[in-house]
Amino acid sequence: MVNKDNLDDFVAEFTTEHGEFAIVALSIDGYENLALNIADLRRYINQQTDIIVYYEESMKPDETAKTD
Amino acid sequence: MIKVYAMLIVFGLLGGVGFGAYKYYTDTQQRIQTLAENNAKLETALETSEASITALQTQAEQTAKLTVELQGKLQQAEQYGDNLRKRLRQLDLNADALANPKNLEGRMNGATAKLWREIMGETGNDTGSKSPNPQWLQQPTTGAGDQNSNPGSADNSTDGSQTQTN
Repeated sequence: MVNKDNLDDFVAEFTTEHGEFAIVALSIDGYENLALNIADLRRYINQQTDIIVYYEESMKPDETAKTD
Repeated sequence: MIKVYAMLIVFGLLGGVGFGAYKYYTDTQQRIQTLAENNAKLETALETSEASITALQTQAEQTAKLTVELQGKLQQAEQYGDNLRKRLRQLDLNADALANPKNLEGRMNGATAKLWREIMGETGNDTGSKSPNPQWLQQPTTGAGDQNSNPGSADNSTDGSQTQTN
């Protein structure tokens, strides 16, 4: 997390470690969007899992019919 | 002679009546047997139909129950996103980033690690909560980075400046 106060320290340490100062930065708004998009992916994964389970359960043969 | 003819006519009539009665009897018996067989077939068909109706009703009830469960689960799956939106509205990340970037970075890393583990658990990896931090969270950080993302660091701390996963 870099702000205007620790930017110079960050640039110096980063350049020392990596040689060149080239980064991919994310604004706070961008971070929030990313977090919400990942949440949406998680929702989609979970809902697809639930739907698959639903169909699996629906396709199961009736246990009571077997015993009758 | 007339008597002989009369007798023949009487015997003929009696024979005709007797034959008619016999035919009527055998025909009726045949009809009763056919009707009994048809009745048995209809009873079997009725039993089959009733069993089919019962099976369909059971299946419909099961499907309705599963559908209700599915709707609940689908809504539940939206809970994380809803909570996150609510949380992001409550927080002012810009202000936090200016006030205490280390603390915010630790919280972000912790939340990300927790989310990662939860997704692992939800997608079938039962080691989810026990697994170490993902590799990208364990890289040595520079500058204002969170030192607690280093390998081997405890990730159950409640210190806001550290990676929080619980």
